[in-house]
Amino acid sequence: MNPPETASPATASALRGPGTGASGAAWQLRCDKATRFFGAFPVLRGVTFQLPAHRMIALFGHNGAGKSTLLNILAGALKPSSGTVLIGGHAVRSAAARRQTGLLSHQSLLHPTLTVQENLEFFATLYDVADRAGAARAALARVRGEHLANLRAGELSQGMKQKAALARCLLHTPQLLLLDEPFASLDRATVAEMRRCFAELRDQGLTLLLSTHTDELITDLCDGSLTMERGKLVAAEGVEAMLSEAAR
Amino acid sequence: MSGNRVFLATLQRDLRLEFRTREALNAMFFYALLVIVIFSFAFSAETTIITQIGGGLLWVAFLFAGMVALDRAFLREMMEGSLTGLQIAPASPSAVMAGKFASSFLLMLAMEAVLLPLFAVLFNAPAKTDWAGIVGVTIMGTWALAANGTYFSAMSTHARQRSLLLPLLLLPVSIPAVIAMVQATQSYLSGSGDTGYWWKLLTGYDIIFTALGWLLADIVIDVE
Repeated sequence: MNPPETASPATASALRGPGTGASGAAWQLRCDKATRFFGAFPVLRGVTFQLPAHRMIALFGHNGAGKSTLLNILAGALKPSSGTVLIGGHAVRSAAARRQTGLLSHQSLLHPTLTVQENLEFFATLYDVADRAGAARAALARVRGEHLANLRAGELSQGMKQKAALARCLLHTPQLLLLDEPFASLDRATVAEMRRCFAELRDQGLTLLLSTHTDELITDLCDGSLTMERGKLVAAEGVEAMLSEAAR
Repeated sequence: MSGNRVFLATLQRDLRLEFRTREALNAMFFYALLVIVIFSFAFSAETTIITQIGGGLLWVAFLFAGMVALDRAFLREMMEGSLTGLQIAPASPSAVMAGKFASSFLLMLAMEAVLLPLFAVLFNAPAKTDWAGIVGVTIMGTWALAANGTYFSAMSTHARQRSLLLPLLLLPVSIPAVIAMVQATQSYLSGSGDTGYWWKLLTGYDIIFTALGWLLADIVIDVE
């Protein structure tokens, strides 16, 4: 049976309730009227939301809803045409915000000619991590990918590549992890492994925003959800409650 | 200190990538070799020929072969989206650009170190040639091309016709440097020795365009 295209209200209600993750004190991310045009075409139209800290939030939406554009803006890869985005209180694209953010995108961002260890050590330098080799080994251990260290990124299977890419995101111990369709093209065993990994990261105190156009794989994993349609945020499930709880 | 580490890491990574694939080195070397050999067939190996047009022949080979290395500098960042990795990192764009510049500069110098002696043999260079001067001009000229070329290579990364755009952007801006390189090399080959003006022009050009590339690095790294 094909999975539904977007989150239905029923499945969205089945999302993990507030209070299940590590205790959050405040919002990790604040996005205020973020707009983005590609040429004359508005891909994001005044997206406003807050993301509670230490939670895993799903970002639902059809293909073309603007999820990847939003995540790229939050990661600092794209500039918003207008609007304000704060990551942990710092303006998006500032060095402080970049240090708090990790992006797992459609591509691994790892150069295929270099080994995974070489790639990770290079990124560790870009993030000013002191012990580059140690940080690379530790990040691989967090995703149970120690065996990947000496393999060239171009020789990895899709699942291995996704693990190595996740290790890249974790190198600099970010507070916010942006996951863009993390289960795309993965087999069931790897999906299960990635799910377990994401849950562990949330329980360790990270905030995760996970985009997908199907809700089948993440409804039981996430604490709340946001839904986008045609560049607009049309629904937020459980997020307000978590923010209120954190404020108390 | 962080900027130095980023510079060295980028340089080391780019050189490692090049020595594993040898894409730019092979293409550059064979292109320049072909140009020099064809010109050596076209012009007889008379000393008068090389003293009249030798500077131009040499820099045609170096300039167009060097463009291969400059084109590759950011083209390799398009693989698996590694340019996005550079864009989202908090590292100084100037340090990344400096690392890329240094790697292109060293690769071009490696190609020139092999082809300069070959040029001397094939064109029967006169005994009065000032080779130390030619080596100096080659280093300064290559610096100018690498500084501009790295910048324009980054700028044209996302263009559909990037291989066409790079020479279109680079060559007009490089005209003052190219004139200085060719004229100074010509003077050293003919033994006339009057190169003071060309050295000043080349040095000023290198300083200005290296500084511009450094200051504007964040703009080109962030090109969407």
